[in-house]
Amino acid sequence: MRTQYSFLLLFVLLLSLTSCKDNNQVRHKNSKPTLDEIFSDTTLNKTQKKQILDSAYSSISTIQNDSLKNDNLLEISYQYLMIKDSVKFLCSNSEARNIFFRIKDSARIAATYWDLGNFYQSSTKDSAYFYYTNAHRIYQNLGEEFNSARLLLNMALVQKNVKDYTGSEVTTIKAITLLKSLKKYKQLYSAYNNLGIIFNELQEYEKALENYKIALNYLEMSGREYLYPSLWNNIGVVYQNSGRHKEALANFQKAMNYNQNIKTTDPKMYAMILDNSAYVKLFSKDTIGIHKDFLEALEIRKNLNINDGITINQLHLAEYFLEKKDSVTAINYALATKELALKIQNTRDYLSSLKFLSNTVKDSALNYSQEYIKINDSLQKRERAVRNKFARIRFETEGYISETKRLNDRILQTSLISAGVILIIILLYIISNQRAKNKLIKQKQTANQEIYNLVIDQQKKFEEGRDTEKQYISRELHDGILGKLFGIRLNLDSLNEEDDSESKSERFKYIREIQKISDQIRLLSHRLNKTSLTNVNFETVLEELVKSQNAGKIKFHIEFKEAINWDTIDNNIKINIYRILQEAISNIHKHAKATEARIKFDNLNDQLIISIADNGIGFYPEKIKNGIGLSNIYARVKKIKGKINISSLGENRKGTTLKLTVPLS
Amino acid sequence: MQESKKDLDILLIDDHHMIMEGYKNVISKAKIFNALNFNIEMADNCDYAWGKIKTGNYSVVFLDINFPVLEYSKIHSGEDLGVRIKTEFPEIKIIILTVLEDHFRIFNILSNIQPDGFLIKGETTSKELIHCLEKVLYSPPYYGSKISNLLRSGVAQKSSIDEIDRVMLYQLSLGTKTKDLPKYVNLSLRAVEDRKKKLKDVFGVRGEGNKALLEKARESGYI
Repeated sequence: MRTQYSFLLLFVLLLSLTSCKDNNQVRHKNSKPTLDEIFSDTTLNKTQKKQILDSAYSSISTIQNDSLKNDNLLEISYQYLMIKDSVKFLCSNSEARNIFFRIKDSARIAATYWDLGNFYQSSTKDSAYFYYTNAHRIYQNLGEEFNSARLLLNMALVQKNVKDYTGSEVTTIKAITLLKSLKKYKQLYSAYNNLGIIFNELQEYEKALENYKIALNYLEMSGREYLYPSLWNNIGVVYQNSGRHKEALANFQKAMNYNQNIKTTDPKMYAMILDNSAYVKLFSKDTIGIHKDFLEALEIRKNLNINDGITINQLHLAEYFLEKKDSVTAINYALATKELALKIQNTRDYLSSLKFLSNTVKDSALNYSQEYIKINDSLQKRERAVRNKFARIRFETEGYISETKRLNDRILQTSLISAGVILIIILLYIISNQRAKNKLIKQKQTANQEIYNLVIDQQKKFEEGRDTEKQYISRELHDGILGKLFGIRLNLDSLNEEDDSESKSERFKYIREIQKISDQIRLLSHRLNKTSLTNVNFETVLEELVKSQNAGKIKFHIEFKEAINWDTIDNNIKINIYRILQEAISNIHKHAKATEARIKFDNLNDQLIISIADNGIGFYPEKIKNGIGLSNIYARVKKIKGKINISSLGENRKGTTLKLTVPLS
Repeated sequence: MQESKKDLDILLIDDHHMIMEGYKNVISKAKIFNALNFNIEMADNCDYAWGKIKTGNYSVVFLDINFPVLEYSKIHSGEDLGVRIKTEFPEIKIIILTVLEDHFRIFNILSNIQPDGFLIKGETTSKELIHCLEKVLYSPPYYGSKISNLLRSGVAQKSSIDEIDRVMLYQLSLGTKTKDLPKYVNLSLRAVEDRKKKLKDVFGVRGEGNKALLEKARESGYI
């Protein structure tokens, strides 16, 4: 079970090293040997490393720039953690965190919490749990699933270590869910290994074996073969606890034989397996050589100062000697265990020793039993308290998470609403734009329609005129000319027989009449020509508008100085020009008292210049700006983006001149 | 001393003086009328002519049909004037001389005025004019060859256009379809179609559609 710790540390180290890789580039700029390089140098001992770190730390403290400082600080703090310099670690860790808080670098804040969690993990387990939880929470919010899962695993290990097995199980399964989708086999092995340990402790051995089997699978997939002995050892422990000594021994031997050099490469593991296999042999009454094994394991553990191992090893020896009926030596081992366990606060082994002593030392059995019960009770209380604390931390975290979720929801809601509002605004804009466009199109259509109507009206008028003309010509031919010819024919007929001079002069008169008829026919032919269809365009419409005004006293003239290609001009412009002209003519009729009005159209540089001049009494344009007629003209001029200039009284005293300039492009 | 001649008052009504002059020349130079002493007067519009007729003692009236429309005139056409003369002075002999060749108008004139003489100006020579006057004086009526042919063709019997025909023409002009006409005229579809065929004959149009028929009817003042 001790293996878990070392494994965890290894695991943390590995991940920290990977996270350091990003920092390398920053440091390479300074062209200094990186901390990585320094610390991967195994030749350096702890004191040398500490010296290097101290100098690095003091030099970094002088740097003002946070962004330069922060990466290195995190690394220094981590290295202090590695060399177990608590003061310097805590100092640099909190300094680094302050900087990350200032620059709002949540990922690195989480990293500092992680380090803190690792720092407290062996001593103050609730603090460790708290910092892991913090780090986990941040990674979860950042969506960094892998880091989040690894911290869950760390939390689960802490929970298991304080015997919060159910809590640990739940946390482990959470971690597994994340890890499975990420396909992180090594971490999955670690999680299932943890589950195996938990179920072993809960004495659900079948379940424990199942989980170990899965762990074995993932271990195979991860390719970390060096972990096999540890796992087989764990499996062996389960078999041993469930009383299946044969299988237990088989697994221990597998663990032992996996690596020939295990004694030198991993003495701690070697001692553990050696102790465990000797202990299982004790149970199966195969005691040959096991005393030597127990002593070898104990010796190794004493050398390596593995107190937890020593206590359990000594307990095993006590049981061995009890089995060998050497109760004095047994009691001595048990007492030594009791002493050491108390010293190192290993309650489990302390309790075991008390239990052993109460069973073995008959005369003080009661004392030991009472002590056992007392310790057991307080232990349970303490464990319950720790569990409660964990639950509280978890609850607070969950509260925080739900708060964050609520805030996130609110942010989401707000952004959805604002998105909706923006969408609506855009929609409204599009609609109004479309409407304006439609309005413009409609305006254009009406203008087209109006022009069309004007032209059609003109055409109709022309056609009507032509029809009456045709009728006139037809009647003239039929009644007039035919009648006259008939008259002449009749007269000449009656004169035919005569030959006197009077008749001759009469005949001559009728010949003259025929002459007249031919003149008349020529005239009719002319008229017929004239009535042949005139092409009606806007110019004709304008001409007709002006000509139709000539019935009154005022003489209107219209003149087109340049040929204007009316077909290319927008109908909206044309219809407005027509209306302006109408309005101006009406004004002249109503107010000008003129005898003559001249309307001129000129085409100059893509501009249509229209002047409407009369010789009337004039007016003060600035005074009568608001007349309906004039304001209509202004409105129409504005519509076609034209300019109008009215000169009348004040400038020249001869009538009024409207000068209208309309851009055509 | 010459034998005293019988006086005969003639009124020429035509808007062309030259034509009236022609008539006068032809009539006065005709040798067959030696026994008659023509007293020829002229009127160049219907109102004036009607005034003369009311006060005069004319035996024969030469009447043109078409006159220029004058705003103040009460009698617009020779046809109107002819009807008036016929009803108020039935003893006056009327010779119609017109440039019209429209069958329908001719039939109308024939049935309304029942003139004693009817000549189409285009085919009239001085000889024919004299012949016509002679016939009218002694054995009326006399119709020019075109009119005689028209009458002989038999169209005349069918030519009267009654109220039902007018309604039919009116409805057709409004765009009513032939098959819907029975609703308006209280006739079977068959009868309606027969009448339409007759109308086409009267107006001298051919073909299936109503267009030509309506055009002609409109020209003749029926619609």
